Amino acid sequence: MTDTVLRVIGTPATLTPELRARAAADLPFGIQFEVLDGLDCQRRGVMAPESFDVYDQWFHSLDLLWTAASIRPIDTTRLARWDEVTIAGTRPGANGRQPGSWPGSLLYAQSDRSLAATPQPGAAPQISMLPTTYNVDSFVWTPDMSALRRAEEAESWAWLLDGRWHGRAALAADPAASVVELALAARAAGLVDIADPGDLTIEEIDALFAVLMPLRRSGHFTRFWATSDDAVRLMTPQGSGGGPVISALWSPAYYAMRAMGRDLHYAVPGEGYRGWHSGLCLSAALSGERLEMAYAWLNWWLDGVPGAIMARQGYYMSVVQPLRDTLTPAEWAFWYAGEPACEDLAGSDGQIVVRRGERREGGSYQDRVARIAVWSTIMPEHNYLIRRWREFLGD
Amino acid sequence: MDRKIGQLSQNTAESAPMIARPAMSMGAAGSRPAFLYVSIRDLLSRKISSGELPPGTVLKEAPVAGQLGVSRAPVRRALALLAEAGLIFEAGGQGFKVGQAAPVQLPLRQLHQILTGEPEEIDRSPSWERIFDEVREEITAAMPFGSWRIQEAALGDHFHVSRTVAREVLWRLMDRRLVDKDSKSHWIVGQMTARDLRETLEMRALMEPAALVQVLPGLDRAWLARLEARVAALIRAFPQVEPQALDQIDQAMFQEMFAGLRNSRLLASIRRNQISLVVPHLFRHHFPLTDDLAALLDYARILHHLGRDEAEAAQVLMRSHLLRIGRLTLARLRVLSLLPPPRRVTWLIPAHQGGL
Repeated sequence: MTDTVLRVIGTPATLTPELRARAAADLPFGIQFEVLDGLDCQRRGVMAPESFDVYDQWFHSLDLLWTAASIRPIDTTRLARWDEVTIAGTRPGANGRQPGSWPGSLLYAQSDRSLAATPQPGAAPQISMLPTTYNVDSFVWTPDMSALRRAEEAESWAWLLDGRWHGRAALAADPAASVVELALAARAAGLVDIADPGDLTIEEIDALFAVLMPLRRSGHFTRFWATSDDAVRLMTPQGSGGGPVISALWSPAYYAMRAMGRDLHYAVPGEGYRGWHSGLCLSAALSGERLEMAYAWLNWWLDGVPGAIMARQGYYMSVVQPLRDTLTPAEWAFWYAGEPACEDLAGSDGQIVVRRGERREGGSYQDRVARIAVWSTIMPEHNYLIRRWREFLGD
Repeated sequence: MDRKIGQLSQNTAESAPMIARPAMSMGAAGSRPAFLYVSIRDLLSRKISSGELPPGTVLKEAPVAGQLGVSRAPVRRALALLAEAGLIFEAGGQGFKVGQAAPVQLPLRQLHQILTGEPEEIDRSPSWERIFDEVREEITAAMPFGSWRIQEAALGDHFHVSRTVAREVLWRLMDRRLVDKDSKSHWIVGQMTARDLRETLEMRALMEPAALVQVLPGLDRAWLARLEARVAALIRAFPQVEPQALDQIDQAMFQEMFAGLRNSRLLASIRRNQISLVVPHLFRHHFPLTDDLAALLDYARILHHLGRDEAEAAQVLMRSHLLRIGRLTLARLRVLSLLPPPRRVTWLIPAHQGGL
């Protein structure tokens, strides 16, 4: 056992207590976890590469870290399961333009330091970020809302902006997710013409906020949550008075509330899901013993146990087979195959999150992934957008 | 946090791709320097040589600026130049001190007498030229961080010039498309957008290669050879190079290079479309220079062909360089959005409501 400690920064989405405990038990070195919210984590990643060894976050922040030279390429020959890695069900390198930050488009480091969808020919692939866990997201709605909803009305992102539940809609604070959701919503509601919700023009941003600002000022939105735990707190208000009846939501928050017995519907919006992909990056400052430990950490992530921990909060994993071997057949059937649960299923913390007979919304992982309309993204006009967004949040 | 947060204005006030060229800074007033910082540098240098400012005298930005009745920026620059020249040395967070002796704090009254003993020690005549580059530098440094309104009167006060002079500067900046007037006739600095960068880079790729062919016959060969040697030296030393050195190379490659253009409309159009130079300038003062090596290699190839009168080859390489940097420049703009905005100046106030 060495005294050197591996420093991992990330968000609560992946650095869950169960994952941290299991890592401490499995790996022969100490690990120091620093759990930050998404935006703080990005800032740290860009501004202070010396302060961490491994960065665990979303693919859409990759381009910021790479451009700031905060991270170093990952040598795929040092990843035992590299050949088994797929991105959201697609082979790495397979082409396919998808709106937003499709993780595959920036995977491979080239000799001129640009990033591309295919490896540099003639050498073992060097990658910018190791794809790990991913999911497709939408929003949740409560029985309170069913009363206001027309019978047989199809689930739509437009509901986020719908005046029938004025004052009871909630959103995530991270614009990389929320702005694409609001773009889908405004387009579906017929309020703004938007060509590509993953790449808004200046005019589209202005038009979108011309719709959003009055809604915000009139109190349509409750508040903006930063993490799954924060979303759960927001959705389960103390005392009298209802919380939001509709909220953008990540799956750990959904299953945490299911464990509490909350009756909620996770939507399958007609316009499609918002996809996201997580991954691991190596700090540019890594070398020597810490670099070896970082590769051990990356390899551990692909071995099955972390994937199973992620699966029990609704996430998918880039390497499937060892995960499938780790989950019980009943777990695999529910989480991945989209079949009705043949028994009660526990989340990572042991609480029952799925009851026998329930079926995952949207079906199997292939079905759900096929319905991704847009990936979370930091858009080309991010620099302009972020100022409108802060104004919208009311900073 | 290792990266240089919050030092933006300091860094940018001292050197920039779009900043003054000291060698060309002689104004209309004969031998009198046109730039305040040059006057201040000369004054302090005289006082040090004459012994009026004895060894050990502590020189800090704020008191010197206060006694001379000027803003801090030119004093900061003058002190940096004197330090570079080896006349003064950093006094461990206490500003600078003259020579190597132990630091001595002069009473303010004495400092005042030394610095303002003779009349007209420094040139404070109202002149738009004197402040133009500094104003431009502050404005370009703020562009990635939002939209701003310029207060004409405060600008004048800040630089101790009349409002007429402040206005003159702003009109000239408007000619460079760096400032604009809104419907209420306020002076506005618009936020730099990805579209601005994309469109101006497209314009640059159309104009600058063409301009290169026009200026080549008139280019000073010795200047070209020196520039080529400087680029080669930076490539050899990379990444142990100063960001300022890269800024100066950018300035030579894209500003000094075209200064001799006969077609004044082409020259004006080129200058109006060079806002993309601001991005690497700001970026390299906060982040590693890693991706600047590829640019230096591009420059070396361009200069190689210019030196041999191979205009067409140089033109093709210039064009491919400008096309290549598009994606990098846009990515760097997104990274800049994580930096805190530059130090506030009184005359530049944030304009809320992004879409002006």
